[in-house]
Amino acid sequence: MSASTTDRPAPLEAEVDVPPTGDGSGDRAGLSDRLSRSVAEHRVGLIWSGAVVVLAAAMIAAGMDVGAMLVNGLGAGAIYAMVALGIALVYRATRVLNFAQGELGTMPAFVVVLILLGGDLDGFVDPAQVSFGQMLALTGLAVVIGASMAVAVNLFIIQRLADSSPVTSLVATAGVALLLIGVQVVAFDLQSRTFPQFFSGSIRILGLRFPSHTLVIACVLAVASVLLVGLFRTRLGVALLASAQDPFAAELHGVSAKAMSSLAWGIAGGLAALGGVLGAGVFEGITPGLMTTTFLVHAFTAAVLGGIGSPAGAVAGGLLLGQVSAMANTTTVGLGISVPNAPTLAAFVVLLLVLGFRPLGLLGKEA
Amino acid sequence: MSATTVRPSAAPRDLGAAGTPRANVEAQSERLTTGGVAARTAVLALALGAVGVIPLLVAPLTRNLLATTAVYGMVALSLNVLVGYTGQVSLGHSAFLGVGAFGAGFVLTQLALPWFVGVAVAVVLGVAIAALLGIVALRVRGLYLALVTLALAVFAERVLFGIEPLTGGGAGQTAARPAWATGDLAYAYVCFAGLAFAWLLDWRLTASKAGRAIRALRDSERVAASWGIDVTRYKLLAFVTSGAMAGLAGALFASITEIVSPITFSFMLSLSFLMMVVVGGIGSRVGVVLGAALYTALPFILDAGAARYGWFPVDGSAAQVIGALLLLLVLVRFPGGLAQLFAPLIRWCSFKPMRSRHGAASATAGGGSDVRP
Amino acid sequence: MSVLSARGISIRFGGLQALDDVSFAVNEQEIVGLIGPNGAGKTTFFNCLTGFYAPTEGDVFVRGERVTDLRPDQRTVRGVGRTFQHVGLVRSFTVLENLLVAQHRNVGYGVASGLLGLPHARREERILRRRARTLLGELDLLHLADEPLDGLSYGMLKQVEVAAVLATDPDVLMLDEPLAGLGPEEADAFAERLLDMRRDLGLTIVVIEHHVPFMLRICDYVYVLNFGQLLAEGRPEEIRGNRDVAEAYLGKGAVALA
Repeated sequence: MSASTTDRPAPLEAEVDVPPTGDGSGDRAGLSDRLSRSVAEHRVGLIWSGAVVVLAAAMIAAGMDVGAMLVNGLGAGAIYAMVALGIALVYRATRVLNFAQGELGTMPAFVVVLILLGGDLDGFVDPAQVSFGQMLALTGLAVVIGASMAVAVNLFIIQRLADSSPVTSLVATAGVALLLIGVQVVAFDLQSRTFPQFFSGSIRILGLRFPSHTLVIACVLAVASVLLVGLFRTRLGVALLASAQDPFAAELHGVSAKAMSSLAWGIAGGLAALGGVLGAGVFEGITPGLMTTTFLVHAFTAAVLGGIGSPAGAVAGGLLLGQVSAMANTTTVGLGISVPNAPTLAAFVVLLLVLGFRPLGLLGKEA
Repeated sequence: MSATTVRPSAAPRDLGAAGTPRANVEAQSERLTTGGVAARTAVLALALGAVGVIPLLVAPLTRNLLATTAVYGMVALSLNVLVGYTGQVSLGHSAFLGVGAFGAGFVLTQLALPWFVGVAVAVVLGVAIAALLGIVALRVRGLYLALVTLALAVFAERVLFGIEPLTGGGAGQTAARPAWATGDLAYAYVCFAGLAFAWLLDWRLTASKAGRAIRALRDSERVAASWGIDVTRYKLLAFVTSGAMAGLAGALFASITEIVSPITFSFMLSLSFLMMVVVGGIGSRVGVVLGAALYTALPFILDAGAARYGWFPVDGSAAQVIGALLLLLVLVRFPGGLAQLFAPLIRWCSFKPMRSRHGAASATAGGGSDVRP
Repeated sequence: MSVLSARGISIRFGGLQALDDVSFAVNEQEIVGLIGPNGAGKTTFFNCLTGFYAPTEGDVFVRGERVTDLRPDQRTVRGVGRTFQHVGLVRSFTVLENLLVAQHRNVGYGVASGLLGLPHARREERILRRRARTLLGELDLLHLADEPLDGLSYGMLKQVEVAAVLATDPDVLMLDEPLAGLGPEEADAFAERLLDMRRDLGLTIVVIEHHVPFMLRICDYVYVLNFGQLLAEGRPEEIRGNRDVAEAYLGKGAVALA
């Protein structure tokens, strides 16, 4: 409906509702052709990235430590991206904005703590005592737990609210988040518990000092993204995308919409658990509600920035938002401006800008 | 008939005059017997009296809890104007409340102005922030608006309330009670009066043309516009009303403990408000206030139970778990919430006859927990 | 002077020319019909007249006043009332409540008086209720007053919708397929009622309907749209014999409408 051509205050029912966009890959156009089309399609993203690069140059000129900023931005951005990726998948499959995406990560991370404590809640985890192999096995377990919880949420709550408005489902996922936080508070109190990383210390690459943990997060994000892209190319992945696009048509071809939505929730739950384990590692500690209070709002912003429902957009949006947040921090500190919590302010401004000027996000396509 | 019309010049054509005037257009169903009216009045007066004497009966240490319950009841009513009447969800009410509280604190402590000025400033600030959000709501709605409100709550919590000259930063801002109500008992009654005011405002809103127009907008802006309703004006009016209630609640909230600190207004508090409204029954005045009372009192009830009875399985620390489970239960199984549970009673008390087949569908309890986008 | 008129209305949706230079006028107390095959642009034209779409070109006038830039509610205040192709009612309200909201523009008290519950506002609320019941009685719908909408048939809903538009006290009543869901006898009764309303209330009526005999019976003047263009206009008997119109409806070779 092109009533949006009018500029009256209420071109009614012009609800900003973004249809999922199918990745129309598989065309055999020439490379330069594809490149130019890709540039045209992603021009908004390129403008944003360009703005970041220009600002960074200005900051170098002003003598700020841009290298450290980039590294910090990558660490935060990769976690935003991981949480946002789960949000995008769930949104695409079930049109639900999952407020519990953070807690589906904190909860499995707490289970990891519980196991490391051997069930002794008054004990203390010494990160130095946790081996790499142990950490790997526990992360695997966390992913299984996160995925199972997410599937349960889908089957017992989301599917039963299928006929309600998306906002009702949002409230329900908020309820799940509150429930999980409540359980954590009852089991672990409000005190912070130490949490191990895969590798501690830092590595110098190209003259920049990278904390090892940041590199681990970036690698996990990269592997997860590649695996997802691979999945979307298999029969199962195509069925998943088709079911998200049109559940009825997919059912006619023998694809169970319920199973496909559970698959999407399961993957998202696994990603949430990875985010939880790695996010707790960032702080080397964990408190109830950690992922919700520290990463969720940024992840939502990243998902919207990338065009909600677009997995690739979520990753791009998360990485970009990480840089924007780090830049806000470095700039305000560098210029001596006292702004409480500049990264949060930056995320808020980005969200308003995106919703104000391009609700479809970076990779979302015009309706 | 035109003689009784208030605006003779604009009096619409009386369609009754066109054909045969029909006599008995006042339907039977609108009438109550004198006894019915008397019974309802008596029951309502008793209920009101009972609520009124509660602060006198409870242990002195519990009086501040009652004041908090009343204030949260006001916030629930405020949120209900948005969720129940306009169909837009707000995750930003912690910010509304906080802006009112810090505004009042600033005026009382930093400017040393009288208490009523603090209250007035809090209301103005509540209206201002709600109006800003309302302007955003003219452009985005549904999930996107929910995200904006969430971001607003987080922004207020971590950025706005952290600005030390205005809010005192982590140490907080003091906010003294009015000189005529410094005691806990007196102040609890002040908060009850605030709740009564918000209740009356909400009642008048729903009973007059503004409330009808707002609820019509929720269902269809096209239809409302085709009936001559200015969509922009009434949507903003809803936000402004909600903001005024929340700002007032903030001012009263500030003086319960007489210190306002940023940590109180975490965005998670907004989720608690949302639980009160959904579990109470979206769109129902009685329901959302009951929901607020339930959620505010729950930790204390559980603690009291655990202290008194050995068999009691949980204490106050489990309140959030139980509260969240209640929310999920209501969403999946009982979309009408508490208001649905008490629907016949609420209907009877609103001076409606019991005979009608259709429950309190539109008059008191709204359309269930489905938030219309 | 025409009560409602439009000059050179064109509207384009992306690549589709939905309306192309359509002009139109309705005089006081006329009943004017708008006919044409599906997709001819009738409802789009309604939306341009009532302000729901902004035409790319052309102007709309109400009693000579240019209203092209006015919002839908501002046109309603100037006496243009309409129904929707798919029922335009507030679905969570009862029938009576729908009629109360529909009287919005004639409510004399202000928002503040309503919120304060001033005596004149309360008095007027009672008058609004009585007026809504009177109107429902006139249309034989009084028994539905306290019904919620979900229990009503499609035909009933269309009738309630007409009552609601009448409650806005329009000068021009614009009806989009009012016969949908009605049986032949009910359709006849509705035709009678429209003629009565025009006489008793001095209404001007514009109506979109596919039911050609009904249109030929009640209309004083008919406009025919086809593919967004004005194909023909004239009195019903002229339209009846028009070769182009018959072709548009029935395909090439048809001679005249039944």
